Formats: sequence, C-alpha cells, structure tokens
Amino acid sequence: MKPILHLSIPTPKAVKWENFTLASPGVRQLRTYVNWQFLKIYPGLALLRAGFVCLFVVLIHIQCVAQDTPANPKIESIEEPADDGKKASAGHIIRGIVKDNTGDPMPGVNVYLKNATVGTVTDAGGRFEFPRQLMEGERLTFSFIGFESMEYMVNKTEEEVVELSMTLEVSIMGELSVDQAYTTDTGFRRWWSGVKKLF
Amino acid sequence: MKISLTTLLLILACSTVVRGQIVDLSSIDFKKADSIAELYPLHSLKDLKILSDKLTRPLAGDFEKFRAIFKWVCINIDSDYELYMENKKKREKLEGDELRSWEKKFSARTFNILVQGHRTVCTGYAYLVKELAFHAGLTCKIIDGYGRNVQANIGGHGTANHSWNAVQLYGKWYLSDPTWSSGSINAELRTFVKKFDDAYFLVEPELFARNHYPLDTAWLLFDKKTTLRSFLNGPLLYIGAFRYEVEPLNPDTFNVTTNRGTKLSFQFTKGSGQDFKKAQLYVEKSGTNDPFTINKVEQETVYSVDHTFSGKGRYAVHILLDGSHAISFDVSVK
Repeated sequence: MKPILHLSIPTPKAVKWENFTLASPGVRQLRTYVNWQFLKIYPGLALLRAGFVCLFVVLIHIQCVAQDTPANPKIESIEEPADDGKKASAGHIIRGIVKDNTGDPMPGVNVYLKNATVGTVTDAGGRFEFPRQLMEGERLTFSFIGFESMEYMVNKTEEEVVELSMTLEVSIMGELSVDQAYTTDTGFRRWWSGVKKLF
Repeated sequence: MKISLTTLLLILACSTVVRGQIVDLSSIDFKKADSIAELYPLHSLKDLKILSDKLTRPLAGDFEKFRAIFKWVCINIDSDYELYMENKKKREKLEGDELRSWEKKFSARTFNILVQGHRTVCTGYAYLVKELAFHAGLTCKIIDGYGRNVQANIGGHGTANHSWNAVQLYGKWYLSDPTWSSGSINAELRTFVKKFDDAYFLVEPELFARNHYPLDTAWLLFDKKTTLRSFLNGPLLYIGAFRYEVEPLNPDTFNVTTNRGTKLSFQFTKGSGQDFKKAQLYVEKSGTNDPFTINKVEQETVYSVDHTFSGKGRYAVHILLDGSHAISFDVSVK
C-alpha cells in the first residue's frame, strides 16, 4: 500500500512556500481532521436536511399566497370602489340555475356580486358558476330585461347549488301624455259646424 | 262664429297658501347628473347593471343618482304609439284568462322592442327606472294606477291605464313619472314627439295625485286620501300645472254648472316651482276660442279671477301659464 501524504494549510496566504517544513509531527494533526465527524457523509442525515429544506420552501410558498388575500374579507359597501374580480377570497364556490316562473331555464341572465362589478352570465341551460369564491353574507343580484331583478344572500359556508325563479313583468300599461287641450267640440259638433258653413 | 270672452283679471288674493314641499329641488345642482345622462345615448339595455354603474358611480348623492337614471330613460326611450294603441284596444276588449294569456305574449314582445329599438309604453319606462335604480342601490317601485289626461279617466268609473315610479331617497318616498316627462303624442300627427320636461320628477304627492291615482292608495303618500271618484271628477291638469306647481282651488270639479249672468270665481295656488310671467284665462265655446292675457303675477299665493258668462251653452275654460295649458274645466251655463 502506498503511503498517503496529507497536507494541512490552516491559513494558506499567511505562509510562504519556501518556509514550509516537514510534517512529521503533523501526523497527530492529520489524525485530528480524519476523526472529525462532520466531514463524513451519512445518507440518513443528508436526507433529513433535504427534508427540512423542502419543508421550509413549502412554508414560505404558502405564506406568499396568503399575503394576496385580505385576512378578513368583508362585504363591499356602496361607497367602496368596484371589485375588479382579481380579489381572491377564502369563501366557497356558488353554482346554480335560473328559471322563469313557468320552470323554463333562462339563458343570458346577468349575475353580479352586489355593489361590485365582478359577475357572470347564465349559459344556454340557465346555469352559472360565480367566478369568485363568496363569503357568507355576500349578495348576488340576478337581472334580465323584462324580469324583476332578484337578490340572493350567500348563507352557507360550504359549496352550494342554488335554484332561482324570476318573475316576468307581465302587466303592461301604456297611457301616454297627449299634446292636446280639452275641448267641448265633439266630432258631431265639428261635423255640424262644417255642414252649417256650406249654407 | 261667436266669440265669448269677458274682461278678466287675476287678482292676488290676501291669503298665502302653505303647501307641503317634500324636497326643495332648487337647492340641488343636477348639472353633473344631467350631463352624465347625456353621455350614453342609446346605450345597450342588455345588461342594465353596466348602464346603471356608468350613470351613477360618478355621483355621490342619491338625489343626483336618481336624476341621472330618470333623465337617461326620458331622453333615450321613445313612446311607441302603435304599441300603445294595440295595448289600449286589447285591454278594452279582453278580460280574465284571455287577457292574462295575451299579456304574457305582449310583455315579452314589448321588452324585445325595448331592447332592440329603445321604444316602449309607460310600464317600460317605469321598469327601466326601477331596474337601473336597483343596481344603483336605490329602492324603487313601479306603481300601477289611473293616469288622467284629456283622453283618459275624465269622469266615468275609471280605467287603470298607467304606471309610474315611487323611489325611496334618504328614507322618504317620492313620486315621479318618466313616461310623461319624456314627451307627448302629437294628437294630429299621431306620433310621439320627444321633449324632456322634468315637471314629473320628484313631484309633491298631493299635486301628483291630481292626475295619478294608484290602485293601492298607500302610494298616494299623504294622509288625507282623496277618493277615486273625486280624482275622476276633479279639474283636468296638464304638464304646465306641474312645471309651475299650480293646483286648482276653485272650482274643485271638472264639470261646473252655473247660470247666465252669475259671477264664477276661478282660483289656483302657486307652489315653489318655476315662475311664470303670464297667466291667462281662456274661454272657449263650440269650436271658437280667443286668448285673454292677464299680467298680475306673484309667487306662492292664491291667484283668482272672476268671470261672468253672458250666454247659455257649454264652455271649455282653461288657465294658461306662459301659453301652456295648466288647468281645464267644462262649464255648462244655463
């Protein structure tokens, strides 16, 4: 077996090459380094460290996502600026179907979060899924031309499927303002007046 | 042709009339609301939430928000004369299930015409105001009832023929009629002539009840309720009366009977509306007419004029303010 020479340089720049001496007394020094445990590679320990690092990264990631959401989402008041739909919330998804009072599904119904601008429209089957998670107490408005608008208050804390029935504005009345003054001159009188003029 | 006219004079009466005024609109500046209403001509009606946001989000006060909605509807929606006539004829002809079945089809067609052509009959106006107000967070209702004009609900048993709006602003209810503020039908041409007049915007309830009587009398919005009978038989008021806020005091009925040579007193009150420069009493008999001008004017008072009819017959008597018809009576002289 070939002898193995080990060199130890505590502070490399502090000692000049020409001043180097033989390392015969340094065997002890070498032995000391060899015995240091941290220089050895133990697979179990490395795996544990890797696990800690991964856990740390995951925790940091979760914290970053949470910072995008207000700690306590609240219902917007009328004076508050419009919700542009980018806001996420820790609520739940609302799905549903809108029908008319005869039970037929209503496509094209506008569904909005009250006092905000985020919303959606019902599909050909009258179905909708609100594009934002909603908190308990928030209100949705449903409107379609010719029908009376409705409000729905989110009242559960888990996912829900709602079914709404909208009412058609049936009674159409139509008296108009007439640009005409009252006259006692009836049709018959006008005719008689015309007849008298002939003579 | 016989002209029947007497020298008349409007005399300022000694009593000053105290009238309930629900809101002093002159203290509110509607310029911004009006200009916003003019920004979106013929805006799509497919999503009323979008239109309501455009009209009301730039405005802070509820009076201004409602004004922007009211004015937009009045200046962008036309009355459809053919639709109006069809509705009127069918309502007179049909009843019961047959009427309800026809109503449903007619309603769908009416709203389709509204979306496609921005034309409607009065429920369409009231509906749009209500829906736009809903999206603006204002509580607004459609009130159905009897509308009274030269062609409808003069005497008789009354026909429910009209719709208007009640809106709640800062806890109080107010009455408005977008249909009659948008323009009128030209009786000769039989076409709608668009002309915005805010005379029917947030009207004092007792004055409003002169030509709007709700099916549910709770919507009269005043304590001393008038009866349908007195409504149908009261003096006839035109938009001019609302513009200047004048109400008849005497005679208190539309049909008046008097004797030849007897002095008849015509009186009206003036509220805080627009001032007029000229008041006239206009006496018309059997196809003849002749204007008579009186210049005596004073604000917030009772105005009075005495007239003696010299000949027998039936007269239409009108009070004109700045040339516009305000109040009419049918006078029979024996």
